Amino acid sequence: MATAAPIRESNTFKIVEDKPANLRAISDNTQTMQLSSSKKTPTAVWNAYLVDVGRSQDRKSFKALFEHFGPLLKSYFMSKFPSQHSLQMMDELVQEVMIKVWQKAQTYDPVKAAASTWIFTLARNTRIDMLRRGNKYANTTSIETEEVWEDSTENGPYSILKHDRDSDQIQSALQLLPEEQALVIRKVYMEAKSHSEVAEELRLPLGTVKSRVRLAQNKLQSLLRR
Amino acid sequence: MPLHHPNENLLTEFASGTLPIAQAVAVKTHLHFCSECRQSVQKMESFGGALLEKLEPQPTPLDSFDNLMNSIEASSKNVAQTSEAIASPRHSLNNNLNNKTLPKLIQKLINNEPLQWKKINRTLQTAPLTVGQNQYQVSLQRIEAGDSAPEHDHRGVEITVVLEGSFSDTKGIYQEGDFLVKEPGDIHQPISARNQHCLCLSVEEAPVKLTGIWGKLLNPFIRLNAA
Repeated sequence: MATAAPIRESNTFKIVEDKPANLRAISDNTQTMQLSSSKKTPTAVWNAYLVDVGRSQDRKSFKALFEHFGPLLKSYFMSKFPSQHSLQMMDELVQEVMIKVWQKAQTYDPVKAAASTWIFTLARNTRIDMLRRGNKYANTTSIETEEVWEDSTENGPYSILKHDRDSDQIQSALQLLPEEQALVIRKVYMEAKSHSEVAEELRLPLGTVKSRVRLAQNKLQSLLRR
Repeated sequence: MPLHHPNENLLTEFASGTLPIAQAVAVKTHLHFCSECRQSVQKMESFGGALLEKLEPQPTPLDSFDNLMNSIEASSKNVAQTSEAIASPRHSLNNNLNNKTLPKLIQKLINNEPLQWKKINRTLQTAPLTVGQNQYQVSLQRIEAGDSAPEHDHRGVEITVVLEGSFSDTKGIYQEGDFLVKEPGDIHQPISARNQHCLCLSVEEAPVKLTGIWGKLLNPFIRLNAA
């Protein structure tokens, strides 16, 4: 059943994982990827599905991604748009992101970023696009959102260490943040609020919010290095 | 490698997508020159991915996957449109600019429209760039070799990214890729290096009282100090 298949090589370098996980791409006609070691982390699973979509437009893998990330994306969009926007619009935004996932999956490289990171950048850019569409000056420029905010795997050879890309490890580290730090980090990244907006909402001095964000990120970094 | 970078909070706003596009263009321009900051942004995007995984999932409608596949099938029947990262130069006679070495985004901004260089005085020229907003004045600034720009202060926060050459002021020397922020009240007089002109990207908050009419102004938004 399972034959060891070569790890997908990108154009510039081979994928080297120091603790490779057992990955199985669920698909009708692709080979099973098997790497040594027995641990199948969620990060590795989602990465594998995404690679599968990119390689062979596999619908089962795409559906698995949609079922997992769709509700998370909906939550992301709902947290930043005022409640007068309909749920239907939220569903449309989720669709917009998933269409980009489908169309761009070939460019995804699991060595450079976790699937959740890549999808986060697509969601972020979709949100920015939507805000720009509402701006009357938007069509005075030909600049595309993606030219300013790139998808996270377009940066050339990977330059951050594996543990910094491992979504599971970051999720565990987030659990260990003091609540006040976790709160500001969530508001900045998930509710897409500027530091000023967070300060206003929480009625804190701007400097306090800024330093809490820095403390949170430094703490995450040090936890990831352990 | 640049020595002057956006601070961590600014990079965080860039990575989370909360930075206004004009300032994001300045950060992106710095990232072209700085792998250290590119790594920081990648790490921050990883935080974003992990936070996404920890959100409370909101249920999607039962037929949404089928609708999604229908939309995908419908869009793949259209002629595929590829967007070029570099626009073909439509206005290649933008004087004195060595386009090929500039960051792609800057090249695209330059080629977007014919550059209109305005002489501020003997030493300084500026040319506005359009990024699709009106809260910030985005421009190229060029100081001739060995010259000093007029001493000026800033009505609003100004971000400067050095594109070519270098300049110095009393606080330091700034070279290609360096990212500086000046606040209102910071007075400085940039002096370009002796042997080369200095070209910078400038992103300045448009002063509130000029926002409505700045496009019609012939004079620059910087206020020259009396000698």
